Amino acid sequence: MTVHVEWLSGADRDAVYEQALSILENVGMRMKGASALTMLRDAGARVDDAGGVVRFPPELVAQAVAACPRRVLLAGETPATDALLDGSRTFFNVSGCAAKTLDGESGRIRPSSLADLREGTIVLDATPELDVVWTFVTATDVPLERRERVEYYTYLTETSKPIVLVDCPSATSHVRSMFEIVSGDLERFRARPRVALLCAARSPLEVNGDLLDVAVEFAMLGAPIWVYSMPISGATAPITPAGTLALLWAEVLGTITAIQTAAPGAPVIACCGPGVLDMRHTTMSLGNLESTLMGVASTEIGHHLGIPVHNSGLSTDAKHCGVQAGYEKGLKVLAAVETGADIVSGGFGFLDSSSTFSLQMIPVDAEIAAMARRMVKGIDVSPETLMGDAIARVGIGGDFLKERATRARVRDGEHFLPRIGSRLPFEQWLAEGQTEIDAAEDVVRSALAARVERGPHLTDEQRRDLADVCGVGPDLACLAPGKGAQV
Amino acid sequence: MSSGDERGEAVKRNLHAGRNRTDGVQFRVLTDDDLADIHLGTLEVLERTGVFVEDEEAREVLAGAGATVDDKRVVRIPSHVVEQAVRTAPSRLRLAGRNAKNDIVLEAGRVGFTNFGEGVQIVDPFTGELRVPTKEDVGNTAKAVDFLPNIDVYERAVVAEDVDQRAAPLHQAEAWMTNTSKHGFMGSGNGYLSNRLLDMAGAIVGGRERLRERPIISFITCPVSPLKLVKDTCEIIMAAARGFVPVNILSMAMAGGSSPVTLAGTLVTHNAEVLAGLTLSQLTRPGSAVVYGSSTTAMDLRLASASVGSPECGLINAAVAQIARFYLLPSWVAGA
Repeated sequence: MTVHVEWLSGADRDAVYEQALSILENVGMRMKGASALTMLRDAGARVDDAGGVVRFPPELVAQAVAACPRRVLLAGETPATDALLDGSRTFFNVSGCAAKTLDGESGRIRPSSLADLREGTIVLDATPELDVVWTFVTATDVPLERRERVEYYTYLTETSKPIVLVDCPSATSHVRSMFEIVSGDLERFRARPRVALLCAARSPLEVNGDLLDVAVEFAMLGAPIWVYSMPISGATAPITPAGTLALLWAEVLGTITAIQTAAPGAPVIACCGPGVLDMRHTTMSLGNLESTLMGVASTEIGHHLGIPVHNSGLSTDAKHCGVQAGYEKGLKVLAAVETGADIVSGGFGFLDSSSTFSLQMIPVDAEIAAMARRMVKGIDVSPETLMGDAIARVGIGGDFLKERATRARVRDGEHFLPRIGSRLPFEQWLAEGQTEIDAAEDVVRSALAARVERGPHLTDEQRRDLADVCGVGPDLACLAPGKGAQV
Repeated sequence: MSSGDERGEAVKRNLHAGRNRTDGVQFRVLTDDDLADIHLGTLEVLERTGVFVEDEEAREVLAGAGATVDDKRVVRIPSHVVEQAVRTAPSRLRLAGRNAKNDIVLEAGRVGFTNFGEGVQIVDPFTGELRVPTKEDVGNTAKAVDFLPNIDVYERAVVAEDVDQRAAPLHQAEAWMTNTSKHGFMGSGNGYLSNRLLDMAGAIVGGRERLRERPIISFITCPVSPLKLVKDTCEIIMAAARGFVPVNILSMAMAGGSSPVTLAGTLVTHNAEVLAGLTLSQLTRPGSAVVYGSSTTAMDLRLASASVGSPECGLINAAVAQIARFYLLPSWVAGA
């Protein structure tokens, strides 16, 4: 059977949901300035205009939850790169908007550049374990007034995978134009939304009104909205995991209710990225196990409500691609995948509590993700797989290597074969002198070399139109990997 | 974590997996039906294919209970004999430390930790050099384990290469017994050496007969996959039963090499090997303490080597723990 794991009882899930409803009814959420306030009032919410605080009747929240589709399509350039979140498997995405990059050559931290963004996107595009690309790096070397559009252009021309805008766009008209260019028109975009938006609450119990307006506008166009809450236990949320969960779900459900009231049936994903405050250093930790427990509990609560759930299972507090990164990511992601999270973020190049990007970490994270997927496939027990006849045939002291089934089943993926990890004898490993990071760098180099052969994504016409909308010149369009940004 | 035992002394009982909270995490890789299928498949292998038993006395013990022995020293064990042995093996073990505050109880679902064992190389902790281990290294690993509160029992971590190899287990025991007051597991070589180790442990606790109450040592022995109990293994199992110390019967099958490529098939031959050893133990002395062990994993066919870092090893470990619970036996899984 496939692996079965359960963290909360049905009664516990209900208790967190009921507490979240109570918070929304009695304390409410501040959504100051949002256009949705009028619609929420009309739908029965108590709105305090001066403070922008909305108190939600439980029925309104329940109605919004019922309006959320369980299946959410994140469309790729073609169906081959679609991610359909339907509960059948766990997908993976990166993390968001790192302003710092761990330089692979010098080993030092420096501001992230457009070259990092571009190379990272190329490697992510070539990484089969990675399904969805968030806007994961901030190109700090591009002037602020041009940065957003240059970044959008680069993401859309360097990956065919679904894209999620993590930071709120400065305006929406050019983004609408982008939707039309990549999909043909807005109707086709609605059927196959290539771009989604992340709408993050500010804990405790606040969401920016302008951001909510953009989320509602996108939702009306059919773009999936990733409704994100990342409370920090002990700082922006209660110290107990249960209390943090209730607050997290109040924020997620309050924001979802605003979106569903304005755009009923809009595709939304409940994004649960709780952290804890490390009281010794007053720093936020994402690599801790309490966050993992809250994350997997959230997956169960979301599925209990019929909403697809995101989990930040690959995040780590480690500062380099070392032992801490390995054990934190491995332990956390296994829990997330076993629980059936729809999509898992925090990794594919991320360290330092999702603040620092590392190109070399992408293949390492891919390997961790693949191992977790193999683990949840579990052990298939059937008369065929029990192999009683083969055991009798091979007999005592015999050898199963020569059995035909051995070769066939290994080829079919019965056993996981690592690309990064070493299984060599110690002496041979020393003689070859290749570490996990060396192996990862080989994968990165191959991906960048393949990009030169492949060329950019989208048609020439689409790229031309997109360059117009994004205000980028031909320099950027033909920028070779590894070169600095000529913008 | 601690509760009083029958004499009112503190004894360590670790948390129950799945009972850490009112409704703690449950983790299952096998359904009840899967467990039944693996059990029935195992009984069929033991009855139909049998196991090679190299030791004459062990064959006689098994034959005395109704097993058949052929001229190739293959013993076929009827199902009822195996199932009776599972019933007489204790479900609860108290592993004694040299210091009673380090005693630990193994029983259904309580998870403890140990280090790994039998290292034939060591990375020198001070120079980083890869070299063969010494008796001093054995002592140092015991010291480290003694110091670390999350490691419940010691396993002889490395083998000493700087001593007379004919008596190596005795040197190693001297090194760890004097450097940790926690319970220790070790491969005990053969029947003769096992008896000398019982003498040493007996000298510490006040006589061999006192080991019945204070077993400060457990033996580890490995069937040879597929389906062989070699002479040393038989001797160790019988010596442990007669000496009143636990024996960890630990198979090390490699799926695709010394066991079927499928994990389900591997669990069947693994289970057959452990249960054959357990049957020998229970027929030697009903009620002797057995730990259901595993270092079984998948073979990497590219390198023809056992990989303990693989997801398959994790799945096998989880399945072995479930199988042992199915039999109400304490378990031991390696390769963490």
